[in-house]
This record gives sequence, structure tokens and C-alpha cells, in this order.
Amino acid sequence: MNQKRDELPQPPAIAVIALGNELMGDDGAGPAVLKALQRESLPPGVDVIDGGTGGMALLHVIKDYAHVIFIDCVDFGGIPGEVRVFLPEEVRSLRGIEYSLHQLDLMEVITLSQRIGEAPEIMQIIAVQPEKIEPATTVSERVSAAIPLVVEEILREISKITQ
Amino acid sequence: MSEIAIKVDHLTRVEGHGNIILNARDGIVEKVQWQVTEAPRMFESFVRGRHYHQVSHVMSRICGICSIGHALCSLKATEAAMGVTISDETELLRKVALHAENMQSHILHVGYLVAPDLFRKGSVFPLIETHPDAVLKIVSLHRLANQMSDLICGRTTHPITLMVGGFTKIPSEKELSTLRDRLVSVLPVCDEVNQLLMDNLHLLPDFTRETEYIGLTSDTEYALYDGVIGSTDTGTHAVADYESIANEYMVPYSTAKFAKHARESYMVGALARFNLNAANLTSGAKAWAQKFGLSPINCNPFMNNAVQLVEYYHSVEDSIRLLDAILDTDLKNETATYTVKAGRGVGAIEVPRGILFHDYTYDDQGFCTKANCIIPSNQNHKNINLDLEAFVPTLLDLEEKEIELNLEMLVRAYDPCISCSTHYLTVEFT
Repeated sequence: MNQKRDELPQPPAIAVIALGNELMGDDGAGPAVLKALQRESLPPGVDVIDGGTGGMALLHVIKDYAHVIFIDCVDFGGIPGEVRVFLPEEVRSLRGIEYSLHQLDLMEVITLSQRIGEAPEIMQIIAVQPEKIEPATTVSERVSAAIPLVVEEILREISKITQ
Repeated sequence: MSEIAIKVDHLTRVEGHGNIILNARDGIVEKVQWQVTEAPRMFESFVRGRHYHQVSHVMSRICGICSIGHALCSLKATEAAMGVTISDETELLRKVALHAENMQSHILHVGYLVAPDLFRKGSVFPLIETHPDAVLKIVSLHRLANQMSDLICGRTTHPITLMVGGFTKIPSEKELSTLRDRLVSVLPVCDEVNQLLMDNLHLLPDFTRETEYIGLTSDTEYALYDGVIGSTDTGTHAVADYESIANEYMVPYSTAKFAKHARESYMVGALARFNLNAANLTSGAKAWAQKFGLSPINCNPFMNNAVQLVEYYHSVEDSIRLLDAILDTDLKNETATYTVKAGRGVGAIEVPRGILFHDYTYDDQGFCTKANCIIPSNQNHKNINLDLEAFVPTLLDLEEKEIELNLEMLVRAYDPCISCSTHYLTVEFT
């Protein structure tokens, strides 16, 4: 899935990192976008990465990129299936900073990366509002309908960066 | 009348969900309990009916931290069931993979989760402001361990190159040589991190309680990948007898099974390994054990954290030795030849949190008919409970918040890995 960076011509080094657990209903929005994205033709210099359920390992992945686009299921109080694009500084996590190795959320990884001076120049989050987070191997209809919109957003953002 | 009522719901900076309950009145402890509230995982059922090639991949999903250890333990059990003999090269590479996981897990635990306690900070984030250099060094040690896993196992978590009889792919000589050089260069960084944390280790409570320590042991090495079962109370036992060691049982207040052997409880993990095998640590690791004031048998569970740092050092030094041995050979991917057959096999391995057992039975087509796994954290639950019972009376004069912190630190010292769940963000726009 991931193209080898050293086989690519000129970076800009862009990573699209999809997060989520596809066994937990709408938390699988990220993996669903990942599958849809594999059918698209992306310009050189873009790595598409399955970030799984995140955690501290992401810290070591994102440091190599100038621009990172995260795809994640985010409860921002919107309508299920609603898509929002935002920067980390535009939100605060309601979970607070208290974590375990598994439960480190994306905002904490981003914060840690910024504070140790390793953060990519630009990080964006393309978020899908979930309807149901519960054991299920499919996303809800409303989130499923949002997947093409997320892909469009990703392609639009990549186009802006590479132009 | 003084009353203390503490309920820590979902203790933070541990893996998964567990609660601490304490009720005390007039200096008398009425109730103290470590409760595990996770739902059962059913992995043994998942692999029944699965072909042997799939089993290690399914079982590695038990844990996102110890996935290499689960995969290796699973492969050992399958190979024991089918009489598969792996090459020396495969064994050496597997040992390096296991070191990578121990390094990953230990530095995460001590560096990110325990260090805030040692510096009296709520998390690693304020630590960045006061000790930025230390945090950067900890991150670099974690990064190296992750890259080791990537190289040997194909990715950081849930290995894909490990298979029955060998590897699907092994690293090149150049890659292994580069890794070896990086391990050598990281030893001074380990020294600096150890020194920094040692300066604050005196903040860990001076609490001891005698218990039984169980882990793999070997005459020839600091047993991680292989050995027999060792007990500080009863000596050595065959791996095949693991059920009579763990003696798993249920309690009404916990969804996790508990375990006991010669006493009411026993402890597994870094401290248990140290107590059984300290003589076989590498020279640098021995020197650090001495500086930390550790000698077997150490009965302070808080020192599990210090031993994790000692073990990180050991894993770096031992990986250098193993890589030298691999690089001395004509490197080739030697996969064992074998015939699929019916049988039962038990694997035992030391993962970061202690001794792990996998036990499978296969039919003559190589389909799994029965599976049993005993996970380290389950073996520690009763010991945590008894430690809490002994520790609480020494704390009752403290403020309730301070009591709570001490109890949390005690549980955290065991580095319990309770389980995984879903992880989605909840945010508000500012």
C-alpha cells in the first residue's frame, strides 16, 4: 500500500494517515476511506498509511513528513456523516491529557510531536462525525455516504499542496 | 471518626480498564480491591478451526504492545505440536525481535508513564517543559526499538515476517550491520536516561512484601525466548506443566482470571525475571542493577520499573551480541522443513510483563481443535491485590489524594496490560 519514499521523484513529502478500528462500527471510517483512496490515482510524493488505532507509534511516523493529513472518526457534535476539515490548533480534545499506550489519542500525539519540535509543518484532520461506535464490521449508512466526500477533500488538499 | 473512600475508575497510564477501591474507617481498612472490568476476549475460541498458518497472526492481536511475543509464543507452541526444528539463524533473529519488543514496551512504560510520577508531574507533557532533553532521549530510545521491530518483523506492531519454521523474509546483511552500529551508539543515551531516572528513584515508596516470583529461567542466558519455568519458592518445572503453575481461578469482582501457585499469589514480569536470572544479565545491565541498588531477591514491586531500565540495557547489549553471531554466519533465510501432523504443543516465552503460555492442539490436517493462553497480567492480579492490602495501612495518615496517587503508582509499577478498546476522538471547537 505504501509507496517507497526513496523511489519517488521530488517530494513534497505528504502523508495521508487513516486512523480507526474497523471492528467498531463508525470508528472504521478511516479504514473505509483508505480502501476508497486505493482506487484513486495519487500524485508522486504522497504516502498513504494505515495508522491503525494510533498511539505513540504515530509520533515516529509523522516526523518524516512536511505535510500530514489525518483521516479519523471524530465526535465534534455534528450530524452523523458530516465531514469537517480542521487544524489541530482549532480544537481541544475533551478527553484531557491522561493516557495509556493504547489510549493515546491523536491530539496527544500531535501535541507531543509539536512540543519536542518534530511536528510536520502542516497537519490537518479530515474528520467524519460518527453515528454509532459499537462492535460492528461495517460503518453506518450515513458515514458510508460520507466516504466519497472525504476522498474528494483529500484529493483537493493534496492538489492544493502540490500545485 | 475519619473515613477514607477512594474509587479510581479506569486507572490512567495503564493498558485497558481497571479500578482501585479503598474504604477505610478510623484507621481500619474495610475494603481494598483491584478490579479488572474488561470484557472477556475469547481469543482461544477464535483460533479453533483455524489452519495452523493463521494462528500466530490471530493470536498476535491479543495485544498491541506484546504482539511480537504473542506471535513468537504461538509459533513455539505450533512448532512443538508438529515437531518443527528451526535453524540457529531463525532462533537468533527471533531473539532480536523479542528484545525489540521488550525495549519498545519498557521505555514506553518507564519513559512516558512512570517518569511523570518520578518527577511529580501528571503526564509526560509538563515533563517536556521541565526536562526537554530527557524526553527527547526517551523518544529516541523508543524510536530505535520501533525501527528494530520494523526491520526484523516487517512492521512495528503485529509482525508479518514471523512464520512457522522461520521467516518469510529476513533483513539484509547491510541492514543488520547498520542496526548493530545504531545499538552500539545508543548505549550512552541509555546511560543518560538511566542516570536521570535513578536520581529520582528515591521517590518510589520503600515498600516490600515477600511473594513468589515466577518466570522462565535458563542456566545459559537471561531467559526470555526459551527456558524452563522457574519459581523462587519451588525451583524449576517443565513448560508442559504450566497449568499446575498458574492454577487459574475466577473471582466475583473481576472479569479477568486470577492465578496462584505455592502461595496465595505470585508475581511475573521484569522483577520476577531479575530475581530468577540476574546472574545472566549482560555486564552493562549488571552494572546498572548495582547502581539502582538491586540484588535478588528484591521484594519491592515499585522496583519493577528500575528493572525495566536494566532490561532495556540488557536487550541492547544482548542484541549486539546476537547480531554479531548472525553476521558471522552465511546469512540466508533457512526455513525449516516439516510435515503437518496432529499433536499438542505448549509454548512459553517472556514478554515485557512476564511469562506467557500458549497451548494448542491440532488435528492431522493442521487445524486447531483446542487452544489455551495464560497472559502475564492475569497472573499478577492477585499479587497486586495483596500488595494493595499490605501497602494501604502504611498510607492512612496521608491526604486522600496522596493515598490515591500511591495506590495508582503501585498498580502502574506492574505495567498491567488489561486490554484494548476503540479510540475515537471527542473534541470541541475553540
